[in-house]
Formats: sequence, C-alpha cells, structure tokens
Amino acid sequence: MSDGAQILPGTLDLLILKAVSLGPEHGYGVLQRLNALSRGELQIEQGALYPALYRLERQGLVRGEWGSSENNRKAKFYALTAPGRARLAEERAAWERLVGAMDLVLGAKAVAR
Amino acid sequence: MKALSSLLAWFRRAARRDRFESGMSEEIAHHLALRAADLEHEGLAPAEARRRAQLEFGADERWKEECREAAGYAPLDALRGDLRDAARSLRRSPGFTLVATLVLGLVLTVDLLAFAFADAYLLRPLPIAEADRHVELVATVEGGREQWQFDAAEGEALVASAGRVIAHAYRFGLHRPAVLEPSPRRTYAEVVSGTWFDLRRPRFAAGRAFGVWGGLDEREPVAVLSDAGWKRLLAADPQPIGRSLLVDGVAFTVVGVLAPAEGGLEPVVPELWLPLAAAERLLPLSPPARFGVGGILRPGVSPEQAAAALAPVLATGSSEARTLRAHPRTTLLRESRELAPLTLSLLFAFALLTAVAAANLTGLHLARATARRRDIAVRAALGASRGRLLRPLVLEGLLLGGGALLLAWMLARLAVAAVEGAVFSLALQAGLVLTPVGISTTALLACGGLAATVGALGSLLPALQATRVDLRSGLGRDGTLFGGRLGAGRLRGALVVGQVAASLGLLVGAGLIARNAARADDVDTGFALAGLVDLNAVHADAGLVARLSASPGVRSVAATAFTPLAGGLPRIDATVDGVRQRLGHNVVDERFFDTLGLRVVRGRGLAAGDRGVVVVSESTARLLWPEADPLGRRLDLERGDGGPEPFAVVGVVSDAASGFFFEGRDRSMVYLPTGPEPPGELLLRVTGDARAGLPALREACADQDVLCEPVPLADLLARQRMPFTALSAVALALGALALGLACLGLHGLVAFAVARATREIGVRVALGATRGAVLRGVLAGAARQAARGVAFGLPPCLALSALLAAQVPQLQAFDAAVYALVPLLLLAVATAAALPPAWRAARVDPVVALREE
Repeated sequence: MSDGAQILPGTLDLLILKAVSLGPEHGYGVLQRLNALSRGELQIEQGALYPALYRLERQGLVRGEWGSSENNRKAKFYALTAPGRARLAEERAAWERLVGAMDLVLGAKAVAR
Repeated sequence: MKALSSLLAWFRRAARRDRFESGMSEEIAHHLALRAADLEHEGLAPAEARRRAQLEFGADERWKEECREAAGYAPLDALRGDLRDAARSLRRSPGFTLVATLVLGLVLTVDLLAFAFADAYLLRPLPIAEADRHVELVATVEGGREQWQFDAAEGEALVASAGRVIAHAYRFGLHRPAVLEPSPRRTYAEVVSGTWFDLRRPRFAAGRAFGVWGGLDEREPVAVLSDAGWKRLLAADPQPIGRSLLVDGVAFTVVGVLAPAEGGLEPVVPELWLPLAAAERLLPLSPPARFGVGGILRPGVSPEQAAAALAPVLATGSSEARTLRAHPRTTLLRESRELAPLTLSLLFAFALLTAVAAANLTGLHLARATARRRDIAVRAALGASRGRLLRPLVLEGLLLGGGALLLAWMLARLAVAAVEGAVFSLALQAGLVLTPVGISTTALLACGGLAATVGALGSLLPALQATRVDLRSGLGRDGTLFGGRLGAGRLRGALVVGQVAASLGLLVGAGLIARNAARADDVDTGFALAGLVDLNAVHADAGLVARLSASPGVRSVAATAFTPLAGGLPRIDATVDGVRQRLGHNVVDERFFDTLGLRVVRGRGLAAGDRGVVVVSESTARLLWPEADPLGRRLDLERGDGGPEPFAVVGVVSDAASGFFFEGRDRSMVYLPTGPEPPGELLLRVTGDARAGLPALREACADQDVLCEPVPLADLLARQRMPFTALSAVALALGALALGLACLGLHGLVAFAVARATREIGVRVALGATRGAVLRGVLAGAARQAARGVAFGLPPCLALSALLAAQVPQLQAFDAAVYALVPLLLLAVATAAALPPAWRAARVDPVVALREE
C-alpha cells in the first residue's frame, strides 16, 4: 500500500468500527475499505489489524462469523453489533469535539484579551 | 459425576482453543493470499508477490501472540507455561518429589479414612426423605437419666397420638431371635411398625415391604431380609420370596430382600425386619419389651411443640416423673455426651498430624528453595517480578498436593475394608453387620481441599522467603553448621521443633490410651476367667442342664439371669431403711457362686427353694450397713409391677466385676434366688481350655435339640476391650506416623546443614578435630533440637492430661511410665535419624572439602 499518514495512536479501533459499520467484511477487506475511504492516505500496519479485531470481538463490539470470500476461500467476516454501534457514535462524537478544539487552537490568529 | 462434567468442560475449552488457533492461522493465510493476488495484479511475479505480502505483514508469530493476548488467552497460557515449568522442575528432583508426595500422601490417607468414617456415621444424613426433620422421642427421668425406649403400651400410645405433630411415627425394637430353619442360629432383627417402612422406603433386590407403602398387611407373619440376612439365613437363595423362616418357633414368610447397600436407621444392619403387630401376636414370650419411637416432624412443628403435644400421653402411663423431649437425629450415630470428648480428641489428633505433615512439607520445600536461591537470584536479576518467581513454586506445591491426593485415594481404597474390620471388630466378632464405610465423593472433596491447602501452604512460606532475595548473598554462599547462623535454617529448626512437639503429643496420647487399656486388662474380676463359658442357649431346660452336668469336661453348671461381663449391670430399685436407691442385681441359682468361684464370706449362699431372701456382695454390705451386721437386714426390692417386696439378707459373698470391665468391681450387687422359672442363661465351668471345650458343648445342646452359641467369658471381656484396643491402635498409628515425619524432618535438617557446612567441617578436621568430635557435635545438635521439641511439647501435654483427668475421673491421665518413656524414645529416635548425615560429616576429607571452592 502506498505511503501516507501514520494513524494516530488509539484511533485504529475507531477506524475499524467505522469500516465494519458499512457492512460485514473480512480482515483484508477492512484494510482495503479504509484505504479506499482515505484515498490511500492512511497507513495501517497490516498485522496490527488482527489483534485489534480480536480485542473488539472480545469486548462484544464486533461479531465474527465464518463464510466464503470472493475467491471462494473460507474467511471470517466481521459485523458491527448493537453495543459496537453505540460505541462508534460515542467515539465519533468525542473525535469531532477533539478535532473542533484542535482546529480552534491551530486556526487562531491572535489571542483575544 | 461432578468430576466428569468438569472434565468435559476442560476438554471443551481445550477444543475451542484449538479452533481458535487454526482460525487465526487461516485468517492470516487468507489475508496474505489476497494481498499477494493484489500485488500480482499490479504486475509482480507470483513468487515476488508472496514475498512482498509477507514482508508488509510482518512476522506471523508476533501478531498471533498479540491476538492471543487480545482474545484473553494470555493468563491461561502463562499458567500452562508455569505448570509445565513446575512439572519439569519436580521431574528434575525425583527424590524430593517422591518424599514430599509420600509425606503428604500418607497423612492424607489417614485423613481420608477418618473423613470416610465420619461421613458414613456422623455427617451423612439418614437415608430418608426430610432426614433433617427426623426426631426420636426421649424421656428424661428424675436425676437426668435418659430413656430412649418405652414399653409396648406406652410406645403404642405415643405413636397413636403423634399423627398431628409427627408424620410416619414409627415404633422399633431390637430383637435377637433364634431362627431354627432353614439353619439354626441366633440372628439380629428389628421389629418395626409398618410406618417404619413407609418412612424408610429402601431399594429392594426382590419383593417388597409390609405396611402401607409396601402394600402388605403387617399383621401377617412376614419378614423382610437385608442383603446380609439373605446371604446368611437363606444362603443367597436366588428365589427368596415365599421361603419360610422359623423364628422363635413361628413360621414367617419372606416377602422382600433389600438391595445390597441398603440398611435401616441404625449403625448395625439387622438380618431381618419383622412386623411388630404380627410379632406381638405370635411371639408372646420373646418379642422385645421396649421400643424406640421416632418419625418426621410435620412442617412448621418444632421439636419442643411435638414434645409438648405428646407429654400428656407419657404422664398417664407411669408414676415416675418424666419429661418428654423430641430429639433431632439426622445421622446414623446419635450424638452423645460420652462420645463428644472422644470425637473431639480424635479430631484434634488428626489435625495435629496434618499440621505435622504441613510443617514437614514446608521444611522439604525450604531446603529445596534454599538450594535454588542462586537460580532464583539469577532470574530476579534478569528482571522477573516477585509474583512471576512465586507462581511456579506455589504451583509445585499444588501439583504435589494433587499427586498426594491420588496416592491417598488409592491407599485408602485398599485400606478401608481392613481398617473397618479393625475398628469394628467388636461388632463383627459378635456377628453384626455394620453400615459399610466407603470413600465417598464428599470425603474425597474435603480431602482434596486439604491437599490443596497443605500443598500450597507448604510451598508458599519457603517460596516467599526464597524470592525475598538479596542478590549478593543469593549469589554467594552463606551459613555455618556450628555457629548457628543458618538464615532459613532457623525457620527449618522451628519447624522441626514443632514436629517433634506435635509427635510427642500424639505419642503421649497413644501411650495413655494403651496404658489405660492395659490397666483395664488387669481388672481383678474377683473370679477366675479360665474355664468359664456363657452357654448362650435359647430355651434351656432341665434336660439340657442334666445332660451338660453329666458331660465329662463340665465341672459345674449354673443358671443366671445375667451373665457376668455380658454387658452393663442390670439395676433394680431398692428401699433400705427408708432410703430409695438403685442397686446392681442378678437372679441366680444355688450353684452360681460355686461355679463363678465367689467365696461366701458371712452367712450362707443361696439354696434351692429359697424365697424372700437375698445374698449381697461385700461392697454392698459396706455401702448399705457400714457399721452393722448385714445378716438379717431387710431390703425392699421393686421387681416387676407388683410393687416393693421384702427380702432378708442371709449371706455375704466376695466382690466380683460383672458389668462393663472399665467400671471395675460392682459397687453394689444383690443376688436374688431363682423362682420356679429358670432365669434363662447358663454359666458353665469346664476343666481345661474353655475354647477347646466348645464343640463338645455344642454337641450336648444339639443332642437336646437346643440352639446354643457358647462363648468363653474371656472372649466376652476381650469384646468389651475391643473399642479401647482399636482406639489405642489408631492413636498409636497416628503417633508413629508423626514420629516418622518428625525424624524425616530432623534428618533433612541435619543433612542440609552438614551439606552446607562441608567446608567448615573440613577446616576443623584439618585443624585437628577428630572424626569422633565431629560426629558428636552433629549428633548433639540434633539431640538439642529434639530436646527443644520435647520441652515445647510437654507443657501442653500435661495441661491436656490435667483437663482429661478432670473430665474423666476413671482415666489415669498422669502415667509416669508414659511421661518418662515417650520423651526418651523421641530423643533416641530423633538422634538416630541424624546419624547418617552425621556419619557423612565425620567422613569429610579436608583436602576435598577445602578444594571445593
């Protein structure tokens, strides 16, 4: 995958939840989906995806089910659960607040007294 | 069953784990294949595409490890690793593993056996529904004497009016009838009302019960057999139903046989159950005269309410003032005030032994941990946390506990029948069958808990000490033999002192029991036991007496109501000079004193045809008329229902011990003359060995068509002693095991100290110390430890003795021989245990020792 921005620490889970929210997908598919959505700008360590998926599955935020992939191989498809959907909304709101605040700080011209 | 389901769960988890691993590998392989396909699509050669895909992904194993952690398998994996480490380290020191497993295993075997017995008789609920509400009625007579049985009329009245407060109210009595057919023998029966079976509802191998539940009329002469009864009375006939048994001369038809493990509500399993209604109607002479009354409290009724509701029934029945109580009885053995101190002391002894094993195990672990300090220090230096260092050490203890439990289970299974035979030999000798003791799941679980606790505790303390390492000293060497600066050695010393003290306690206990039993053996019965035989005949008559008297080996034959030493002395209410009291009594014929060998001290003995006269024992004469001449004095005795009858004393005979042997000679004894009916039991004195003469006696009985089971009086006494013999054997076994463990501990301590002080010994020898001096030095050290143990152990022993002496006045709690010999024995054995390492120390070659470092 092409060079791009390193993702911020702690945001991988949020990205995965978002990707899976668009429809059930297997591991490589999640990666491709994130790559396509970010127009190749986000650089994700491929192997790190799986521990994150397992962690989310253990927390009950995604559910993995075995099925067949496009090349007719057995693959594990991950889907968002109801708690996962709630968590995604929460994290997204938090993220937007953070980005808004960052923008305010970084876009400031002068300090108003 | 429980073990099976937990095993299944374990397999399920292990299977899921395998699926987890294969799924993870498949996912990663799938990922790599797709990525390689994409790269190929971008124009790379297939081989290069695969290489690049793997490169981008990174090392599989690293991500897999993170996945396992994310999925929550990490603690399980760590535990597995630690377990593997612990098992490996135990395998590497087979000597330690073997000794530790044996130490814990042997003690657990003893504990498991104790648990099994306690479970079978004291803990397991009675085999009935709602056993927790089972009660027995007890009347307390003035003076606190308890009456567990009622006469026929009273028992019937109680059962009849119990319905409102007690469900399934039943009556039951013990009976030893003679079964004449199919094979003549005296048997052991329970005579019960039909409600007894309605409550008990046992499993049947064949047929059914009498009573409502069984659906058979209890007024008919029917009989239900236990498994033992079926084997003994019917020789395990495959078609037992409908067979006839001639019980006390009346034919009873067998209607049911219980399944093998089934019994009644008493520790002794009878051979047969007879319906009370039929027995009272058909066996007017022989049925039991007294009955226990029990049942299940109705819901919401308290024992007090039940007793209050039934008290009026009792009040109308008798002149004596009695209070009624409904006593909850939920297990086979009744709790009794007499048994409680015994049970408690046994419990204490077992706890003490287990503590000795724990101390011993701790000592073993300590030696090992100290030897491994270097290893532990190295791991600590490499950054392992304390918890990380502790875990495998404690797991080792748990593994040892598991192994020991397995060993204990196997040994206990092998030993339980033998121990049962030894402990209950009294009952078995008398032909009684007892509720079998098995190693139950409950006992195994309890022992498993003990094994885990002792196993973990034994390893925890040394592990804590070993992991509190100071890197410098851990990596260096320390400790001297003679200077006493042994560090962990001090803890080991304390453990050994504790073990010696505990084994002193157990051995003194065993010694005291054995000495008291032996003292009881020396009880002067007042008559010569040799040659005396209790004929134990059913319906002896004049013809039999004549036939026996004419037999060549028989010196004399006497009739008596109560055979001396056959049980507790029967008592009778007497009024002497206006004072009421209970006196021991017997009904005997004119040949009794001569046969038993009692001397007539004053007046005369009894003569044929005597009426209204009695002969008393010397001690009775002293008790009743300390100052005056007993001859011609008057006693009013209440025998039967006829009220007091006057008797005149015509003679005084020498004292004898005729009740329980531990009560010694009878405090009081009044001999009444026989009436026109012979009193029932025949006592014989034969020439020569009593046991050798038994076949001839049986033959004489058979000639007269009388069933008899002659028993030498010496055997009756031996049966009485059996519980004491069994108890002292148990105590002795516990004491010996504790002593063995203490010796092992001491041996280990000295061997360890010697091994660590090899260099110092070498220096001393090089400087001119003789081998004898080294040997003496090491042995003296061991003897000092043992002496310290004795010094610590003696005061609690003496305190316990004082307590016992206050509780049980008949007991000789301070026995000089025991208190002198046990400490000496302990010192000698403990010092001997140190001999092998001391010998090794004495043979240290200074050249080798000094070159060692």
